[in-house]
Amino acid sequence: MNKLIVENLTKRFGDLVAVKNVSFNVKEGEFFSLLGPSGCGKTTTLRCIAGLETPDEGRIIIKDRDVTRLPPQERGVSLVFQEFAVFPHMTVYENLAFGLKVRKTPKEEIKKKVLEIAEILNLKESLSKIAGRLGLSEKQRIALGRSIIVEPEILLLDEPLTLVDAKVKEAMRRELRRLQRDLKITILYVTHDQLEAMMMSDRIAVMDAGRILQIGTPTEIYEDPKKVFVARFIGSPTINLLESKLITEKDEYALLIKDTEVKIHLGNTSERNVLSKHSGRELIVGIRPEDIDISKELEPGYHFSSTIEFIEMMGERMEVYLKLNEGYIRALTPLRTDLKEGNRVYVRIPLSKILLFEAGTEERIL
Amino acid sequence: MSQKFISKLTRYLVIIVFLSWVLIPVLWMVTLAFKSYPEWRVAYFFPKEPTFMNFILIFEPKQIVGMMGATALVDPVTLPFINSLLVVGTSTVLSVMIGFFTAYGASRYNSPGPFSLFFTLLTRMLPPATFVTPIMVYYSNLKLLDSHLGLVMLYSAVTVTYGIWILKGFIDQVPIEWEQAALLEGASHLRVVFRVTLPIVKSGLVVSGLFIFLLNWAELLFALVLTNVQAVTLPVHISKYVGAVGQLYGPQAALGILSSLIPVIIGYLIQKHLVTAFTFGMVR
Amino acid sequence: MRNSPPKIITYLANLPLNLLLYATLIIPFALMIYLAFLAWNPAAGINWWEAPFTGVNNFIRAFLDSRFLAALGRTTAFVVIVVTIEFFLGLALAYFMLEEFKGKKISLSLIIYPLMLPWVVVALIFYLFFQDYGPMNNVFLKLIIGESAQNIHWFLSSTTAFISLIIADVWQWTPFIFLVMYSGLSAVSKRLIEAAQVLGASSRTIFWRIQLPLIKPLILIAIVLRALEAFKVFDIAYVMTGGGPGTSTETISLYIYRVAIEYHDISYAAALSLIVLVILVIIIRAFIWYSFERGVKR
Repeated sequence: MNKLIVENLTKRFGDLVAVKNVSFNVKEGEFFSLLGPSGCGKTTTLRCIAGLETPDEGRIIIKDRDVTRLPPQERGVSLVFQEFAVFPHMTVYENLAFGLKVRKTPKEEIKKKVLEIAEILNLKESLSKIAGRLGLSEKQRIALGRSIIVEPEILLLDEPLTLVDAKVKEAMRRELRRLQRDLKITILYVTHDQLEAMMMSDRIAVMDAGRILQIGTPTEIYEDPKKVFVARFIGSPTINLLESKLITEKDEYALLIKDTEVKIHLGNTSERNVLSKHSGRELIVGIRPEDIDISKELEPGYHFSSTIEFIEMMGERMEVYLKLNEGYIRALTPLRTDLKEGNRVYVRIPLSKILLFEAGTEERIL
Repeated sequence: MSQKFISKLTRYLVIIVFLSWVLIPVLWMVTLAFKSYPEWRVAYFFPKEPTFMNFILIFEPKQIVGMMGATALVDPVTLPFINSLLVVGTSTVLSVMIGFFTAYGASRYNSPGPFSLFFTLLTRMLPPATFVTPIMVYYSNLKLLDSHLGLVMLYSAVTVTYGIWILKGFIDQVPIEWEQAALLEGASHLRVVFRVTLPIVKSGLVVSGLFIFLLNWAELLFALVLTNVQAVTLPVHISKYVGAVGQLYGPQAALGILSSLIPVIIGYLIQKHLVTAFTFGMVR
Repeated sequence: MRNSPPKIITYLANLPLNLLLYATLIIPFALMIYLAFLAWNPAAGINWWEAPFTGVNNFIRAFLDSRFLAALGRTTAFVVIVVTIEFFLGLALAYFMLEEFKGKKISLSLIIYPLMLPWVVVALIFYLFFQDYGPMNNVFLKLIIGESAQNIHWFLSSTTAFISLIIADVWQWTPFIFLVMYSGLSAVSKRLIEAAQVLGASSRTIFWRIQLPLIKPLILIAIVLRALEAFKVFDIAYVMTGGGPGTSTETISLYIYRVAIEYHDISYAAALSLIVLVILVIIIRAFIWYSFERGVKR
């Protein structure tokens, strides 16, 4: 059952088209994220859904009601702002109760619900305190609480964790996810942090420059990106992208990495017919650092050798920078003491993990 | 939809009503200023035969006698106008200058302290009538009555507080690092104040100056008590015209317009800063 | 902020100010205290330092002076009435001006211009306006109560004279309250308003429950400043009604002025001035103490 349907949403600010023809659905009980870099239009989309901006084209349908022309008060959504925007002059209790009071809920019921929410969000001790004086973490819980308490059709969150400490972020992410599952809330979450989106979402829509590039589950987006942008945006450390040319050698296809002698033979693959369309063309090879294998000895299947230029320690893993023509290719390996800068090693790129893109951004093979 | 329409309508109505209320009394004065003697007592607004006569009359009131047979002998407005310009202009400059230095000390070093600053506020909060009496005696002994100097001193003293508070607000916003950088480069403190801080708060000087001018231009009580013939200011002159001298409505209106020109222009110029100015910088 | 000011700065920041204040205000103020205890008749040709000491007689006389007490009461009543009206009008106006609409800029400029006019000119405007042949009677009231409007002589009846003063003051100063309220209300973070909107609040609810409470300290400042200014009322009383008819619109400033200038009773004027000053300073002091005790920022 679709809680939210966005159809062909377009929003312009003067000459700038912030949101271009955006369409997606959010199902009931789903945790759906809009992911993208700053300025990609995700916040504007969210604000259109909330009713704080009026779209130039398109429709917004919430639980089978066309709300496109309705003011924010009548849409049945709740929005948690990046800056929280708690009412500083009111107590925590009054903040939480605000939405209910506006709906003319009887006092007794308000009290019951506020206490419930305060219990869940760990705000019980702070109920009588003035909201303006509290810390970020409390303010965020207040913002969350007052949004949830009115039982919206869909809960919108605008980068709520951006202003929070790194350590606290982790806990909050878990909390949010748990809360969402327990209370069965439908969530539309906006963020620029791909890790966050990957960790928390049921489905993600990746956006850039006002358009949606791809919609899918975290796994789908990670393993099956349809555009270079998506592949680059998802995954940490960032995917390696190499320019190459599809050539034929002895009746088999191979990828010749630009400005090098490195050839990756593709063997007899099942995608021959797809490859044949792009023969001789320039392709972009994508390979994630975590998928690259390094060995000190030459073993079968290894494609080329290289020198270790630089090693970056990341706790129990290392990011190894291997020299390739003018730049690097990066590999991620578990901590190994036998690899040192300056070492010559052999590199293997597993064929099954290669992502091929046309130079005009499109994917081909996994 | 209709809810939105009703509130829009109410808004326009309220604003139009208020604007009319604001404009109509002034409209009356303005139209009156262009009416000739026979039309001074009519009930309609716009003169049937507009004339500049009133404006001439306020500069050459002797003609009034001829026109109306009334023994209305009031002096020409030339002297009061010039006096006002002189006195108000000078005291404004003085207030701004003293205000600037005091504000600088108060902003950077807390010197003078909050008590002195509060005291200067009092000069503005207390009714002038409550301290004009001893000043009159004092000036009489110092031969400062009916003098430009006397008025300038007093006007400066009661408006310097605005200079201090408004400029303090502006100076507070100048990053102190800029001054410290200049100091480190070897500039003397005085140089820093004049070369670094002063240029940045230029608009503050203008705002406080224009505002203080506005206030002093309108000042009546002190001038009434302390001047007589030589240093008579415009507001005093206006007060002489009203009531006493045979209902010279036309010239009164012309006077009103003459005295309002400068304040209205000033008001328009510092529109954006009016709130800050009136509230001693408490509201930004 | 550096801790020790360089000498030159201290001089510049304190000396000119002190010089000015002492020379023009503080010395006369001290003089006033002395004068209040004298029985001085300047018409007799003697100077004040020759005048005989009379102890607290002037003060006792003040407390028994019904005209003085009436002026005090009248002025206070004036302040209360005027500030109340201006507050509600100003607030209402601010409420309506909050949203964008066509012609907002011009409206804003026009609304505030009465503030800039010299008080004498405002007095003049309304003096003309309330004349027997003036538009108030002949145009506006005629619409409401017909021909009998001709019979209202604004300045000849104490009630209407008082009302005319109120109208003049409200006309001039409502924009002040409006301005303060308006800037305060506009400064309330847009986010807060949006948050309230999404939670379902109407514009009216937002105004009363979010915007107004957030500008409480501002409201206080506006009212106090206006009240202090209103208490000084002199110009309109002097020019429009001359304190009349009789003494029915005589404000405290006008009365003290009269005592000093028209009756030449300097010592008594000094005593009256002192009494009023003391009362005001106490009130101002109490207000500041009150607002600091409550933790309200000035």
